[in-house]
Amino acid sequence: MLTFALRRAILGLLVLATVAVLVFVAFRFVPGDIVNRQLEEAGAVTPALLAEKRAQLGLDEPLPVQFYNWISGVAAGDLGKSLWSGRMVSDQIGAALAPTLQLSVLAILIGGILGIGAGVAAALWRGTPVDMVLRVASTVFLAVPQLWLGLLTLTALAAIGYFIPLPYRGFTAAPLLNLQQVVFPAAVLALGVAAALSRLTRSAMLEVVGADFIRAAHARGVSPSGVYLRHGLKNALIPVLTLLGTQFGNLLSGTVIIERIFNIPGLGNLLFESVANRDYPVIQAAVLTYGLITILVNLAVDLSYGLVDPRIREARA
Amino acid sequence: MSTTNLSEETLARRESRTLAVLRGIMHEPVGLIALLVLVAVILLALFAPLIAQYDPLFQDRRAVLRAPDVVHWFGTDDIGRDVLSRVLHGTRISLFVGLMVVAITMLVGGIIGLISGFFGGWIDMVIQRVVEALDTLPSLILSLFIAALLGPSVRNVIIAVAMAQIPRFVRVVRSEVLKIRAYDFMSAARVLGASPWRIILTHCAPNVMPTMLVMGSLTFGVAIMTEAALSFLGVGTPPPNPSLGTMLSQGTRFIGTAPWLIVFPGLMLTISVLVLNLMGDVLRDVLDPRNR
Amino acid sequence: MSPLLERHGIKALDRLLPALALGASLVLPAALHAQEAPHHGGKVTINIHADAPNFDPLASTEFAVHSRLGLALSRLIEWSTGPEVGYGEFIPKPGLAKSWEISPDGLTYTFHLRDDAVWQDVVPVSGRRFVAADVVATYEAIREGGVQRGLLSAVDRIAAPDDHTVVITLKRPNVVLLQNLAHQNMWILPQETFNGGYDRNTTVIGTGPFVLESDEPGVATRYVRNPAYYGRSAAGEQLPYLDEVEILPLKDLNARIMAFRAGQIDIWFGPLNLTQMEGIKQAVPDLQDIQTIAGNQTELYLNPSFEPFADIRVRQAINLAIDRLALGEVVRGGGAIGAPVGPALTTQTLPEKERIALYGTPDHEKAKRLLAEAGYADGLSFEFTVLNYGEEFVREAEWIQQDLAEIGVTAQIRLVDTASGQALASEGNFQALFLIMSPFAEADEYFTTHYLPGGNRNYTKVDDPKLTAMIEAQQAAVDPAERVAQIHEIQRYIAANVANPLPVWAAVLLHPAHARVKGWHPMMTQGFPSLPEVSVTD
Repeated sequence: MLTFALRRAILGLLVLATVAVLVFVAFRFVPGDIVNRQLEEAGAVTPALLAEKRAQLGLDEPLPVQFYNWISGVAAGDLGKSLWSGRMVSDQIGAALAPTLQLSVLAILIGGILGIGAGVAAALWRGTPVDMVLRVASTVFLAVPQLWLGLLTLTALAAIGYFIPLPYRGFTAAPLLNLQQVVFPAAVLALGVAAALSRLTRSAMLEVVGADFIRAAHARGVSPSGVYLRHGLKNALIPVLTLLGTQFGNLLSGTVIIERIFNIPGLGNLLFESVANRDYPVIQAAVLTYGLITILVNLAVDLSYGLVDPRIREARA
Repeated sequence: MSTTNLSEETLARRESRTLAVLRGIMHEPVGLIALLVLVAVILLALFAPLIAQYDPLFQDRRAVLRAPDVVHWFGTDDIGRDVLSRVLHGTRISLFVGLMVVAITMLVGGIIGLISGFFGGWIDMVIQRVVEALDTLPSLILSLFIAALLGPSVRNVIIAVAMAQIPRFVRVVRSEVLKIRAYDFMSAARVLGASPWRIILTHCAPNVMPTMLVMGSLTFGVAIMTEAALSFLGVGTPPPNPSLGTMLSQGTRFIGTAPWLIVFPGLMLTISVLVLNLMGDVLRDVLDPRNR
Repeated sequence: MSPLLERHGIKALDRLLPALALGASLVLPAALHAQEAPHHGGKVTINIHADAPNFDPLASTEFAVHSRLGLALSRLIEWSTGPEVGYGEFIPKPGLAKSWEISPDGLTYTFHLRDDAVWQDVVPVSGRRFVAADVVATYEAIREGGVQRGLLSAVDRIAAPDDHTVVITLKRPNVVLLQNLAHQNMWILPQETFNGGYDRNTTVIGTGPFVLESDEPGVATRYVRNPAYYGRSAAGEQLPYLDEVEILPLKDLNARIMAFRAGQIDIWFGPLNLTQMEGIKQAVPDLQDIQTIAGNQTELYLNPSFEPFADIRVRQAINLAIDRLALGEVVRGGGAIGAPVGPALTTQTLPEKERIALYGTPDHEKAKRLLAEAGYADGLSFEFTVLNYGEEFVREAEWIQQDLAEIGVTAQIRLVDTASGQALASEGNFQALFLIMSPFAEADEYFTTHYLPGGNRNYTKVDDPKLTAMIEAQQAAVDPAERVAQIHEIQRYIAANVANPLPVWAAVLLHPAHARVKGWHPMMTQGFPSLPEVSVTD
């Protein structure tokens, strides 16, 4: 089990290194640089001043040198300084990561409860109007773009005269305020998760209906719904875990849009701004962070398979 | 000899499968409705230039931000363009982008996946590392990057969205090929001295086709949504083309005052994705061997 | 009385007060004043739609930095504000310099500094007195490596004969110097920052009305009043009135609108259109509806390296195709028609009638005739590079596209982000380019950047010796009226002989403020110069 985890972790690092190279090289081909942005409003700018500013930031060095400087820093745990703000990139990433993770985790929680609950309900009352409504709802919510749902939520809130209090505050700084700010965006993100989960849970639950052990349990006089619940949920666990793993990637994609619509200073907004400003160290660090999150989530999902099902654990050993 | 027999068999199987798909769709009321709506959406998109009452680019500067009425069913935007016409043309662009993305993804992802799975070795190794690297980034962020790199145009949006979907295809096709490779008829073909490309084309490709079709149909909706998201973020379909995502982005400024700018493009987007997903579901039910 | 009138009433009274105070009777105005006098205390919240990347005024010209710095820092010369002062109008007002003299040859400027200014009580400067050496250190640092160094390009020497005098000697006469010293980027810093005493990226130490208390990117920038500020109101009261100011970095327009409607923002800063304003008004009926003309205008650059645009008749034809007045009305909901010098500079831009004659009288027949004369009777097609400055700006581009189509000219829009666009512009890598010009505060800034060879906004490589001579002559014109006449003449020359870039439109700028805010006057120059005199009613 441990060697398995270790192997995955090393593989993950390799993948991250590939991502780092790709991002570093690719973005240098996008026209424009930070110096133009810094001098945007200046009346009189001479080419000499531009060259001087570029040299100050090390942008005049050959690309391989720049890459070496950056990657050796990263390897030593130093993500460098933002070209735009001069602040430590690690501080900026840390500050932006908190709201994004909070949104994602909250969305998974809300989505998980709603989705699994709906799936169970649909399975227990299968064929009834409850099942129909839940199935239609899950199909529809899988198709509604989060982008539109977010905008509609804002429209609806504006119509009833409710305003999400601003500015954004961290959960530790102002828990109540923070919850008011993240609950709507998290709910928008959660609906997609819930829709996917409920379909999966329902079919996993129904799979066990015809199984022998259910009939046996029946014969022993155990209440059928109790049996469905216990065995059905157990049966659903592995696919649900897998789905959560893949949903996390979708969720991170969703946060980019939702953070923008709901004005949350997360990783997506940071990435977006750093791209607009050509702030290379921040772009690279933000992308690596997204990669790292995905790798960690996948690793966690992989490891949890082993915990859930002993057979997988043995197979790996 | 036996290879020809085999491919005839596959051919026959494919025909019966197409029938089965149609039968499957007809039997499920939801599938039938979805099919009808999808056909309607496709017809609307195809014949948008004929159906639309106005030029989607024409600015009627005396009719700005008109609420929906009999003249402009979906109202007009902030420089007097007819929203209904723009929604129709926008659907056309969305479906076109989606279709191209699906085609490119299936073709490129399929070929790379077949090669990776069939040959194995260092080719497989290199392909898998690149696929993993691309797969590490959330798809929208990957698309966002590629779109920012290439600059906004319809062609670039297609490339950007497809690039983010290809890794998933490669992985699935590869694993399917690995499964097929173990089958007897494959080793038989190899013993008979068929060239690797011939084996790939005659044996592997037809067998991974159902999986690819299911994945492709489900990618369609994802592609349309990603295109909208990219356009919303300003790196997608460039103006003045009416993309549904661009229209949403344009409408955000009028959220409290002209909701029709948000409601109609979003509704069309949702309906398109919804019916495409439903069709994908039906296709999966019929084609997926586990469901047969 | 409407809130607006009420506010103006107070201001009028304020202006009268010093005069009345001279005549011995102080009782009456004091009594009157007591009713509506601004009182100390309270807090206002302003939105700025971007974070300050850092607080180093020498590192960038970013508005989010300089707007925030203005609360804590001061300049040698400041901008007058008030109901009678135009949004883009520069009337010099003593800042850290209480007075100044100019030598008859126009080459030597002597500034007498105020002796009651102290630096804010922040380590390591810790409340030290402000002296001439601070001014010299700041200007020398700017000349050496500041982004503002172009503003001091005419300066030969800066000296401090004593602690309260600064003498600036010029290489050549340049009447714009005073305004350059009052430029939005010309904040005076304590000398300690230039010899490593503190990091001005993160620490702000100034002589201004407010002290920076904290800055959380994405959340808020918070200020408290500076009790040692030198500023006094016209009535001699200690400024500022406010105890606290908070700046919220709300990037999303809808979030900003909702925050304003909910009263979470008192003073609006940044883009807003009239439709949105109507929505806000319904929710906040008693708001102060302050409207001005934007200091930046949109400009269309036609690159002569693309063959058709080398012919001035083609450029004139394109000029005649664009219906700017309708564009401004529909897309921007108001504003003013552009000119080589932007319309926000009310005295320096051409009179409105003339601007309309030159740029606001579309004539498609004449345009087609000009095209035919130039050999493009069948029209022409070009790539139209549009910088993505946001939705309304893109609407302007689409509008121009339709106007051009009517004279048979096809413009293929190519949307690029602003960083790419800036690179394409300075490389001259475009056929036609559409952008929003920076908010310049002086005609000279427009001229030198756009029309002098080597100017950094001279994207179309204008090099006209006669025009260059006219621009240099205007810099040395000491008599203000004579200089304005020259500036107008230059613009007429540009319209007739250069026609590149084509000015398009300066949008209406809306600056709604809640009724509780008194004494607020938005100004084009960054840093909220009227904020020290702002007070709240509750």
